[in-house]
Formats: sequence, structure tokens, C-alpha cells
Amino acid sequence: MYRVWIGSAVLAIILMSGLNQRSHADDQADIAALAAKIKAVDRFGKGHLEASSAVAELSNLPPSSIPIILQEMRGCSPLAANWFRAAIESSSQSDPKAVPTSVLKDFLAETANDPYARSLAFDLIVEQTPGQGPGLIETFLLDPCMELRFMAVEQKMQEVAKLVEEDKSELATERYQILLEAARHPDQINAIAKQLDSLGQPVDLNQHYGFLMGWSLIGPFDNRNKVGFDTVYPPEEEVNLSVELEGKEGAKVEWQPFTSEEDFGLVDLNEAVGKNMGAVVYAVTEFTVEQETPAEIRIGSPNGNKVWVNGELVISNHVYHAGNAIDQFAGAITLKPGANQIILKICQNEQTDSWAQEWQFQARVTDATGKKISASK
Amino acid sequence: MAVSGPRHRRHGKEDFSIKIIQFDEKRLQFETAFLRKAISNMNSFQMNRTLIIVAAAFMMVDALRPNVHASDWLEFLGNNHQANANGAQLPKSLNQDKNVAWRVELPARGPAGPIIVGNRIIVTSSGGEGRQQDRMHVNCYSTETGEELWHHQFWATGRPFSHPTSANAAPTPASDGERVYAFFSSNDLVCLDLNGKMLWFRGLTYDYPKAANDVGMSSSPTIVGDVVVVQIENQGDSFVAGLNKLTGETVWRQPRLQSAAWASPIAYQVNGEPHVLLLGRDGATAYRARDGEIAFKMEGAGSTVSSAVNLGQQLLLPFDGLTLIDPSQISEGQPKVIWKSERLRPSNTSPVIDGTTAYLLSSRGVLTSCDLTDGSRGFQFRVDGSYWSTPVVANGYLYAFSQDGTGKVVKLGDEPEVVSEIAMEETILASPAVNETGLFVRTENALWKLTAE
Repeated sequence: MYRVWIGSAVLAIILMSGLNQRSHADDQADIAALAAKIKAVDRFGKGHLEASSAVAELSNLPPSSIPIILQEMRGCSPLAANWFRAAIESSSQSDPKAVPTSVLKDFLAETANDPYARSLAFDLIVEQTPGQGPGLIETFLLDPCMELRFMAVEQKMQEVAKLVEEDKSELATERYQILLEAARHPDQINAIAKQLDSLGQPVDLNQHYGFLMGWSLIGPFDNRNKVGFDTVYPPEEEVNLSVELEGKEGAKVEWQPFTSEEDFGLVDLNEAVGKNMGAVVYAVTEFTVEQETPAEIRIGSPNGNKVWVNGELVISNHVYHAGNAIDQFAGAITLKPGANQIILKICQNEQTDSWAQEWQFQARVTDATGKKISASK
Repeated sequence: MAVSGPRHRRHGKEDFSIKIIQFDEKRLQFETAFLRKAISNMNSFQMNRTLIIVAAAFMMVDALRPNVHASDWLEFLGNNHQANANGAQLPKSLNQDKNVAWRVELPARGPAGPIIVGNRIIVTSSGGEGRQQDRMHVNCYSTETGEELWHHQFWATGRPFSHPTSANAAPTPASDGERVYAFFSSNDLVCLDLNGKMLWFRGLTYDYPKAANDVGMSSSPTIVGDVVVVQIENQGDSFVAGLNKLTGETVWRQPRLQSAAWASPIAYQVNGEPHVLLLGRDGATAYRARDGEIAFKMEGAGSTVSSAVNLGQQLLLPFDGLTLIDPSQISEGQPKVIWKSERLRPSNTSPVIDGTTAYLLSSRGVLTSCDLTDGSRGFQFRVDGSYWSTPVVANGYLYAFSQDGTGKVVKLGDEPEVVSEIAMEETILASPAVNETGLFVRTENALWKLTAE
């Protein structure tokens, strides 16, 4: 009889364990459902309640779930990426080494994976084994994730600097030139160019960045009391380089060609059209490509600015003297085959501070990573 | 001296005990003493009334913030922005060998000050691609040992640019005693519980893409009633918003002048109704916390950097110089102005309060005292140095930390004097935090605890 009891008990345990056992596919489906709630987070706090609950659930999953969560991050918004990150970091806290490093490395190596997820995978690997960082960073030199590529260029720059210290100038020059092609961040590009210059290999940065040097300018138009930023002056409706227009205070203004000879393609409007506070200038150029090309127009200016490409407004910032940098503002565009018209509107206000007298811009056309796109003519 | 682990280390320490002190006895003693002084110095009916009001205000101030514990430092410049730590056991001299209890290296840089909740100290920092400070860190350490308790990282969704002196991690976090609200110049706001579990994340430039200032913004959040208030004042999308502190959802939003400001909002109450006051280039504006309705607006020259102080029933405003108001007495849309001094003008730092005295430390190191009862100026004393960090005052001493990393202890009195100096040799822009056991100083890349020997 006791055998019957034992047999029944064993059978019950087997059945119960079968009922409770969840397959990998079930886990994956559950995680996907939670991930969907996080991905639904949107502007203005939309989806917060559901996402908060999902983050709490994901945070409590064992670290073995992390590779699935990383996969589920694909295509997530920058907002959602942070919610995912918090969940994964909390999950990993119970045992940071629970996920095999090889799994994370494989995920990182696949450049088609989500860039936020790959960046996080890298951080998890380094947390597990800090010594693995430099070796991995070395592989990011041409990585499509700019955050990872920045680290690689930074690390390589330090290595090449040592070559310079060891008087291996030829090798250092060669390595710096490779880095120059790989670098996308202006801080790094400028630093590498400076090193190459000191090694006797000056870099034409205007050419390297692809700054637009040749412009037609017209102005000044009125921007006293900042009225000009939203005022539609004739160049916004039609560009006819041969017509004379009525400018600020009724003065006649006409288009004039201007070619920048400054570093970083700087167009100094105080020099080009004369210092004028409370004023607007338009700058026009054409950018020709042979085939349709996804691109970005990137500008830097301490002044209020608008940019149109082929008549479409792609950048607009009514901000004065609050920062100025290469690639400060960017707008996604699609270049059409043939000539593409680029119009900039640069607005100077009436601040009297010594640091508020700059009236200038610089502009270039790049791919999504910041590499210049060359015009075909 | 303990030093934290590597950059990527994160620990989760659950159930870390939080010391709660319900009542600050020393503060009560001080307030009672002040009341006696006020009564003994009555010269006129008006002065009599003013003094009593001010004294009563000091006695009320703790009761107005139910989550405030005496050992906590829950927001920028401590509770009510008074930068006052009377009763704390602080060193009266500072020495590298004797007074540095611990120093931990932070994962990145920033001028954000630390906050203290129980035995936890929380601080933010930012790093990333050069000047593009798009990686944000929130770290929590033990106040006792400097051991890292947890560390979370986030990616900026707004513009992470700033002047090289500043960083994305410029605003000081805030806490209601149960949650931490870490805010960044990129207008990213993250809410975590005290064990480091993220509750919600909001990208306010993601919502309002023109909400940005590439010079960097530093206004710190404050918690008022059920909302966390952020002042996002710039040339683009400029606004103040009250967000549900539990969910991060917007409860209300009001437009602000499209002109940059870096000052921090201050919470206060009128008849139990939570309010918040903001300073900006066009003046001082008070909002009701539950719905954002404007309680009053004072037009004038509001400070864009120095922040206001809550004295309980009065607010001390860097406005038209320095102005003391009673926000509970509104007449024709304006609060009662108790006094105004155009001679006293806080610059980069905020007023520091010690009883009936406010201390103003200029950006060039001149310390000025002000009698809060009538706005009269007292001593002027040259501390020397260049200051962004607001000092703290405790037990008759003022602790000031200059940009070049020099900490000075000033003995206050009719003839103040610098009694001690410490060369920390790291850039200091952040204002220190204090609990009963020591002084916590955030240098550009590290967090220090300074204690009495």
C-alpha cells in the first residue's frame, strides 16, 4: 500500500512541476508584453503608470532575463531606453555576473542591435569584468553607435599620444590619420587635427568637416525688439539673386556673394554686411548631389536662426547668445538629385553686453553620424 | 579614508535604516532665545510686531514640512533653503589629515550639490562625449562610511550642453524623504526610491523641444505638497511645471518669461496651502502648488541666479536687491513687503540664515550680514576667493568653499575672522550639505565628508 502512496506522491509532484514550469517562450512572451508597456511611454507622461508597473516587474526578474530585455529594447525611444536601463540595472544588482559575459559580448558585437541596448550591454560587461573594457573599446572605432565610437577614438588617441612621446612620429601620423577618418565628435576631430599639425601634417578642417564656404547674403532686415524672427521677409518666399529689396529702415539691400575664409567655415556677418544690432540677414547656397540622399543639415550660431532646405523649414531656434558650437543644431533632410537650395536666416538681437556682439554662423551637410557629404560640384 | 569602487559598480542595499529625528531640540532652544531677544529689543509697535512675526515664523518653519527630519538635507541649500545646520557636530577647524572622514570619487563631474536622506547621501554627475554631457549618473552613498549603496545611469533626452565650467548635472536633487528626484540641465527628471529603484523618468525637453539653454541650466527642483516643481526658464519653451510626485505626470504648467534663469524655486505654505515661489528676470511669482494658479506676481528685478529663502511666515527674496515679504498678507494682488534693501544684492550665492541674521557672500568673497528684522546692513568682511557655492552656517561658524577648492571656516560675530582653511585642491561649485555628523562637500569629481576630530 505504501508503494501506492509513494507512487501517487511522485506522480503528483511531477504533474505539479509540469504545471508550474514555464517555458523560455512563455518568459519571452511575458517580457515582450512588459517591454511593450515601456515602449509605449511617450511625451507628456503618457503611459507612465503602466510603464512604472512594468519596470517594477522587470526589475524583479532574475538577471538571466537581461538578454531577452536587451533584445526587446530594439527601436525604443530615448525616453523608453532610460526606463529599460533602470529595469536592467536593478535586475542585475542581485547578481551582476549571472548573465554569461559571452552572451553580452555576442549581443554587443551585433551592430544591428539597438544602440542604447548595446551601450548598456557594454556597461554590464565592464561591471562584470572591468579589465575587459579596453579590449572591447578597441573594436568600436567604426561603430555605428556614436557613444561607443567616441570611447574608441578617445582610447586610441591616448595610445597614439604615447607613440609621439616615443618619437615614433611616422607611425603616430599614420594612426592619427586613421582616427581622423573615424572620429565624428568635433572635440576629437579638432584635437586630432592639432596633433597632426604638430607632426607636420596640417589638416584642412574646412574640407574635412565639409563646411559650406560660398554664400549669397542679403540684409540687414529689421529685428529690433526681435520682431524679425517671425517676420516673413521676401527671401523666405522667393530667392531671386538679381532683385533689390527693401531692408531695415527702408534701406535698399541686394544679394552679395560671400566666401568664408575663416576656420570652421565661419561666416562673420559683422564683417560681411557690417555690424548692425537688431537685424536679420539671409544666406543662400546650393548643394548638388547626384542621387537622393538622406542627410542632416548642421549649423552653429550664437544668434536666432532658421534653416530651410528646398523650401522646408528644418531648423528654428529663437535663441540669442546662449552657446555656440560646431553642429550645435541639426535637422534631418533628404537631398534630392540635382541642386538643393539651402537658406539660412540669422537674427541678431540688441544686447549691449560685450559677449553678445557676435553675429555669425557655420553650416555643413552630413550623414546621420556627422560625416560630411560631399557636393557633386 | 574610504574610496568608492570602480565607475560601473552598483550595489543595491535594501532596508538601509533611516534615522528619523522628529524634533530638533537645539533649534527650539535657539528659536526661544531669539524670541526673548526680540521681545527685549522692542523699540516701537511696528518693530515689536515684526519681530514677533519673524520669531513665530522660525518656530513654525519645521512644522510646515512634515517629511523634514532634523538630520536630513532634502534639497538645494537644505530644508527651506536656509543653509543652516545649527546643532550639527561640525569641525571648527579644517585639516586634511584630521577632518576628512572619507572621500569618494564620483563617476563623472558636475556642480550639483548632494542631498541627505537619513543615512544616505545622494549626488548626481554627468559625463559622456566631451562637452556633450549625455550620460547622467545618480549615486547614493552611506553618510557614515562613504560606501556606495547604489548607482544608476541614464541617457539625456534633452540638450546636454553647457559652459565648460558647468555640466549637465548642475541642479541639486530633491527628496520628500521617501523618493529622490534627480534633475539635470537637459531637463531630464528621474524619480527613484531610496533603494535606487526607478519609479519614473521624464524628459521635459523631449516634451518641449525648445526648452533648452546651451549655457547650461541649474535650477533645482523642489517638492511642494503632492507635486515636484521644476523651473525651466530659458529663451525657448520657458515654463514652470508641477508634476505628480508619484507618477511624473504633469499636474499643471505655466509659461515663464523667455529669458534664462538659474535660480531655484522655493516651497512655502499659507494657511496650510502649499505654494511655490519663483524668481526670474521679470520679478517674483508665487503659484499655488495644487493647480499652478498664480497667487501673486511682484514685478521688478528678480535674481536669475541667487535663490529665495523660506523663513516660515516670511520669504527672503533676492528681488530689487533684498526684500522680505509676508506672502500670507496679500493686498491688491501684492504680498506685504516688510522691508526692502537695494543696497544688499546677493550675487551668485544665496542668502544664508542664522536666527535674525542673513549672510550674503558675494561672488568675490565679501561677506555681508543683514539684520532680518529691518533689513539693515551689518558688517562687511572680506573672506576672499571666488564663489558659486553658497556657504552654510552652523553654531556660530560659516563654512565657505571657493571655486579654487579652498574651504574656509569663518567665526561669526561683530568682528568675524577666518579661523581655519583647508586646501581641497579640486574645483568647487556645489553648495555643501550637512547632517548632524558632518559636512559633505562635493568637488567637481568627488564627494567629501568633513567631520570634527
